[in-house]
This record gives sequence, structure tokens and C-alpha cells, in this order.
Amino acid sequence: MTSLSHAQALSVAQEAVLLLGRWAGASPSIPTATADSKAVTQAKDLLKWPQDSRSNLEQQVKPLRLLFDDVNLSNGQGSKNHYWPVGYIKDHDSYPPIPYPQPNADDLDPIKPPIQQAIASLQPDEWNNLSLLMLILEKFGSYVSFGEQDNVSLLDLTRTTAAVAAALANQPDAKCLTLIAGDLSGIQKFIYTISSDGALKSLRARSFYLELVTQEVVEQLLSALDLPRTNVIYAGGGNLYLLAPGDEGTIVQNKIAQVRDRFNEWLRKTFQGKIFLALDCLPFATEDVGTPEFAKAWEKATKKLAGQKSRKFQSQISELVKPKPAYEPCRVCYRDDLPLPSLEPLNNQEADSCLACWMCRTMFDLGAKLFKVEAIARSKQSTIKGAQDRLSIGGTFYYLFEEWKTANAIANEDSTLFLVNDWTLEPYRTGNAVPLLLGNYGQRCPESGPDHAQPQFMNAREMAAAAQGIKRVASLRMDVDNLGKIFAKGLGSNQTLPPLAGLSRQMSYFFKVYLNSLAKNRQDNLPAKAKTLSDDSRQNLLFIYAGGDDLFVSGTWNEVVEFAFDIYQSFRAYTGYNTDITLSGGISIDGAKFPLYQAAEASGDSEKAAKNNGRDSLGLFEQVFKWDEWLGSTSPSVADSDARECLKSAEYPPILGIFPLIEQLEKQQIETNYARSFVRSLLATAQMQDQMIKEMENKRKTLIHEKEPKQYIDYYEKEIKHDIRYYLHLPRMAYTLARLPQRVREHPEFAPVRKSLNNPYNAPYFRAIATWLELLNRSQSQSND
Amino acid sequence: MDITQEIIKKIDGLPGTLKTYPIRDLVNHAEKFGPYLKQQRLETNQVRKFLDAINRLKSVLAQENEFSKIETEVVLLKPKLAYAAAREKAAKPLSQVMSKAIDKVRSKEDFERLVQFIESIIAYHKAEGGR
Repeated sequence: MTSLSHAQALSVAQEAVLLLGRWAGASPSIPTATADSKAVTQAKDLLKWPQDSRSNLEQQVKPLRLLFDDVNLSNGQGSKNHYWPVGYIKDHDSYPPIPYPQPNADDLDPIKPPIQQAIASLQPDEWNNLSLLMLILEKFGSYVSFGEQDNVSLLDLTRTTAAVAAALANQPDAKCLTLIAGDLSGIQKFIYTISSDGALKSLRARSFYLELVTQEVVEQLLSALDLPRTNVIYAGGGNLYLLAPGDEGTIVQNKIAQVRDRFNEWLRKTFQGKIFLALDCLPFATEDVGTPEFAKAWEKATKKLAGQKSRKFQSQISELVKPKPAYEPCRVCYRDDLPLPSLEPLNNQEADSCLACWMCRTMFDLGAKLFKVEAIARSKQSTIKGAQDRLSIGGTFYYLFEEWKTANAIANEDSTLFLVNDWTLEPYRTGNAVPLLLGNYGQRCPESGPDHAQPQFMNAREMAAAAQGIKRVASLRMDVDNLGKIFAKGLGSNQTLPPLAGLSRQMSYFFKVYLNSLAKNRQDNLPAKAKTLSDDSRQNLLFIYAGGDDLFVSGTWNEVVEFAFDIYQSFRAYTGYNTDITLSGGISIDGAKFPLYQAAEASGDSEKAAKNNGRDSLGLFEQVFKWDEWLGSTSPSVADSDARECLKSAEYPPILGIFPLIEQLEKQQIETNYARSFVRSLLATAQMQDQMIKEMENKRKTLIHEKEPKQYIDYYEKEIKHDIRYYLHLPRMAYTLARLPQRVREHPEFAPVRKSLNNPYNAPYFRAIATWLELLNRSQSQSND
Repeated sequence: MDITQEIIKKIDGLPGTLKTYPIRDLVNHAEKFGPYLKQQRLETNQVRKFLDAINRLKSVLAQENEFSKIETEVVLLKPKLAYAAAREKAAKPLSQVMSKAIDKVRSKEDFERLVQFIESIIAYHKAEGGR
């Protein structure tokens, strides 16, 4: 903490904590309060830090308005106004409750006492501990605004001001700053293209490992450029953005190139060129940090990486193309450049375990241990005793610990301690500890492992066994729609550094922190009006990856499906139901022995289909619909305009959408025998419908091919295709419903269900409804596969 | 106007052959006509021969894929209906409607539409409790 840049960042953080403390009524004894340096003054000026901040604190610290409200792309948000509820992240809260925006601002007074307490207890030397101060701001300042813009949090304003001050440390008048952008490509390949037993666990370990790789790149950059951690604007999921000083005489550029080349050398040796680090920087005018020009720099820096990605390992090309002997391949990742003796059994507990390379063995072992990792120490030292495991990444070692205390006792001066989802102040007081946020929920298996001592994650077989109906597992992939656009121009004239930092933090908080909470404590974390199919706690899930703006979750099929709906509803509520911020997702449902890499591919394909459906959609059961159609909408607006025109003569059904109809049909308690035949005829109807639509589609294509008159084709398209989709199969549906037992048919609650299923508005959903019911009700004896 | 007349009028007024009978109208008509037939106490066995013949023609067409192979047989469906109507008063509305529809069958597409129509009527008839 000696360098100039660290001192600047520290002084900004100190001031923010001091202000927060004063506001809350604490009078901490801060060792020395010096006047702002020139760099700090500059930074404050650029980012509009309130000038008279010390005097009228009550007016500066306000409830935080929702930043997402200001995101405006094509759909236009209108003039919504939400506020974050007042709150803070409590100690020992590994699963903090998800805050949902509300129309009115809360009174801030209730959070004053805990803030007072935390800040009053700070020891004099702790005021020089940047990561402790930043943690305090993260705990208490994430959902409070500070300064001119009431949608910028105290945390984000402090972080970015500190970053700019640190970047300006050596040259307060610098006209230029540098934005560093980095991207690890090939992640998908590394994570998903493996096939083996226990793949679930290994996959999780792989994604965790890559998170550490990203982290290591950040660490090396920070140390090469001598910058404090505040200058990391975003890091996660293989992407990173750092703010660095202006680049006179390409010093920064050279340092970055050094880090990149050294890292790529290591990546090439370790992953045989599967993973590549693109790292580049872009100079931009210093004053841009406070204007929308900054978003343009951000976009440009990202685009610049594409060039490197298309020329991977340029400097090592001769090494890469050297002919190498091929040996027996590793049975897990199929790398074949290692002579046989280096392949060993993947699982030495099992006699017939397949032969695997060292990386795959490491990942397999790591998968078993990950469950309990609480702290990770990063050190240059090659041995530290007491650690559970050691990983080598880019020339540095990462030691895994079950408890932060052990880690803290062992780790030395030069090591950094990463604490996984830990907001307790205690461990940050000493040493160099920083939080590491990870979307890492995973269900333990009930009778933990062979030795019963070590808790284990559930494996695919156990997940399948826990399923309702058919014994299957599911893979879910989801990501935020148009994220690039949101970051490039979503905020319009507001697109400056602090709001951008806020946006990226709030997005990644949702995926890294709140998603864990939603998985773990379902009922406490669902938004108020969420629709749910069951009130099951649906905990049989395993996060393989969650962070940034996307996720990959595996688990018991029916619970994964419910989780997908929970995530969507939670995310929409979290972002203030902004119509420009949506998610698309895809789910694939498979047997427990189905290769996971194929399941990953299948769910990726259905996610792609969802994106092609105009986004804001979910692909499930090989069908794609808008979330509104799945969840059930109260207005006919879900159908496209053509369809609406075609349906205008029809009455609007009492129940519209897939989810509510499933819910109602499940409620009817239809006796098993009837249910089975009902579902079967429903499926038959839906299949005939699909078949017919396909035939018509082909006919239409032939007509176009034969250059028939346009009128004729239009007639075909409109009248026939729509009529077939919406009307042709209604009679069969009526007949199917009529064959249900009288008791069910005459139940008063069944009348709206029957009416709705007989309605053309619901006709496109027949197959999804039938498939869902079929899977839910498939009895065990039928699904032995 | 009762449903039988409504359908007949619609079929008479079609711009072309039976394939121009919009499916939406066809289904909406069947939705009323099926229950009406049930009310008239029509049972499917009373028009069994007609239904069997339709099914047979369907499968012939599926194999041969050429309308000319069944064209004559389609026309011969009419006497089958007339016979049913003569035996059972309840079969008369169906006979009237179907004869009109059969008159407009000239092609494969027309025949397919005819089958869609009769299947829809029977489905709604059965949904109403008809046997």
C-alpha cells in the first residue's frame, strides 16, 4: 500500500467511509485527514463527486433509484420510477435476500445503527486497509445513492472515483487514460467438451478453475501496472475491464503485452491452444469518464479484441504448428499429446476407471472438494501447508481452504486471500483479503459419498432419481438479451463510468449472488406475484456456471424447469420490469447417462432458438415461446399481429398460456388411468397438429418455388396456416376433454380449463402442454431406461 | 336460420370448390352442428357406412396420391347418405350438408377439406356425448 496510485484510491475510500459514518452518526477517529491530492480532486471533478459533501450529508445520501429504469433501447420504458429497498448485506449472510425495487423510497434511518457500529469499531490502522474499507462500502453502500445522480450508488461512485484517481496518480493533468479489455476465448470448449463419469462435478470444477484464471489475469495486470483493485471495473466469466493510466510512450501497452504473452505461453502449454487470452487496451480522453463517450470507448475496446482472437497465438505460431507425435488420447478431453505413462485412472477409488490426463484428473479431484471451499489464497510460494488443494495458474499458486481462519493463519504477506461470498467484516480486518463472488449453489447428496464424512454434490443419477414423473435431469442455459447494446447505449446521455460500473455490478450480483439465494431459499426470494407450479423448495440443482450475465445449471428436470421460471420472474422484478432488459433461455431434458457435453449443446441450441424467436423467450420441450406465453398472459398481445387479426372473432379464453393450464390440470387430480389416456390423446392431437403445420409449410415452399402468383401464396399462408394452427385441432381437443371422467368434467373449477383448451388462442400450446403433463405424470415403471 | 341451413348457405356461396371453405368457419360450424346432431339423436352407427366409405377413400388416396382414383367413389358417397337419411330422420341434416359439400369436391385438396369437415363434426358430436 505504498505506491502513489494505491494512496489515491485509499484516500477516496477513506473519505467515502468517513462520510457514510458521519451520516450514520458515528464519529470515527481517522488518523490523518489530509487535503485531497490533485489527482483525487481531478477524479472527483470528472465524476461529479458532490462538492460540499462534508457539510450537507443528509441531502447527499439518499435512497437509491433504480438504474435499470433509465435503460431505454427499442421498446421504451416510459417513465417508471423505482427505488431499491433500504438495506445492507448482513454478516454471515452467504445467501442475502434478493432486493426487489419498489415504487416508493424507504426511510434510510433503519440502516444507520449497523453502519455506525461497523465504522465506529474501525481501528486506526484499519483505515489504511483498502479492501476492508471497500467491503464496508459494498455492505452498506450498494443500495444507497450519493451525489447528484440518485441512481448511482455510493459504492459505485467511490469505486470509480478511486479508480480514476489511481489512474491519474502520477500525472494528475494527463489528457488520456487507458481502458484495458480482456477476453478468454475457448471457455465453452474447455468446459463442455468432456465426456466422463462424474462429468457434472468436473464441469463445475472447470468453470471454477476458469474463474480463477480470469482472476489471475487481473492480478497480474494489477501488479504489472501497480494499480489498486478499485481499477477493476468488471471481471468474471472470462471477461475483464480495467482502468489504467494514460499511455505515454506505450509503457502500459508493453506491460499488457508482456502479461498477455506470458499468459498465452502458459495457456498454450496447459490447454494445447484450446484457450486463448485476448488482451488489449484503448486510450481515451480523460474527460470521457464523465460523458457518454466512455461507453463508446468501452465498445471500441471490446471490438478491438476481435482482431487478436482471429490471430490466436500469433507469437507462438511456430511452436503450435510443430509436428507432434500422437499418443493414446485422454478418455475425458481427448488430448493426445501425452505419452501413455502420464495417463492415469481418473478415479483411483474405482478399479475400472478410465485413463485421463493430469488436467482432467485435477479437475475431477477438485470437483469433489469444491463444495467446502471458503477461502482461496493466491501465492507465489510453491508450498503452503494446511491447504486442501493447490492449483497452479499462470505461474502462481492458488491454495484452497475450507475455512478462512486456517487460510489467514497460513497465508503470508504477499498472498492475497479470496473469500467466497463472504461479507463478514472480521476476516477482512487483517491481511490482504478480498471478496470473490461466485454463483456456486449445489445440492449435497443425501448420503454423502462412500466414507460418509465428506459431503458431496449430487450426481446426475441421484438428481434423476429425485425427479417427479419421468426420471430425467435437465440442463438450463440462460443469458441476458442485448447486453452489449445495453452497455453501449442503454443509458443514453447517462452512459458515464459510474452508472456503467453500477449496471455491470448489479447484473453480475444477480447472477453471482442472488441466484444462489433464489436456489437455496426459494420462498423467501421469489418476487411477490411470482407464479409457481408447486411450492416445492426445488433444491436439487447444481450450478455449473453462474456469473456475468449468464448461467448453466443442471439438476432434477422438473426443478430445473421451475427454477427457470423463478429466475425469469425474479430477474424481471429485479430490473423493474423494464421491457428492454430480458432473458432468453434453453432447457434440454435427458437421461442421467446422457453425455453432459451433448446436453450442454442441446440446451445451447434451444437457447439459440429462443434468441431467434425475438428474444425474451424460452426453449423447452423442443418448443419456443415468449416467456409471456409460457407463464400465461392476461392480454392477447402475446400472439403476433397476424394471428391476432385471425383470432379477432374468437372469444378471449379465461386462461391463456401454458403454465396456468398445466397448473389447473395438475390441480384436477385426474385418476391415473384417465390421466394417462388423456395425456396420450393430447399428445396425439398435438403431434397431428405439428405434422399438418409442417406439411403446409412444405406446400407453401413448393408454391414459392414454382413461382405461383403471390396472392395465392398469401392466401395459403394466412388463411390456411393460421387456421390450421389455431382451429383445425379444436374438435379433437373437445373430444379428448369430453372423455375425461364425469367427476372431473363436472367440477366447477374445470369449466374454465375446458373452455380455455377449446379456445383457438391456446391452440399453439397443445404440444407443450401435452409434453409437460406427460413428463410430470410418467410413472416410474415406464421410465426405466 | 338453423345451423343446417347456415352451413348449406355458406357452402353454396363459396368462391370456388370446397377447398375455399375456410377452416376457421368449418370448425365454428362443426362446433354448432355436432351438438345439434346429438340433439337430433343421431348415433354414429346410423351413418356408419358413410363414415367407413370416407375412411376407405382416405387410405386409397394416401396410397395412390391421385384424386382421379377415387373421383367416382366420392360421387357414390351421396347415395349412401340418402339411404341413411331415408332410414333415420336423425341422419337427414348430416346428409343434406354432406351432399352439398360433396358436390363441391373436385380435387385432392377438396377431398381433404371434406374429411376435415366430417371429422370435426364427428369429434364435436362425440364430445357432446354422442356415440
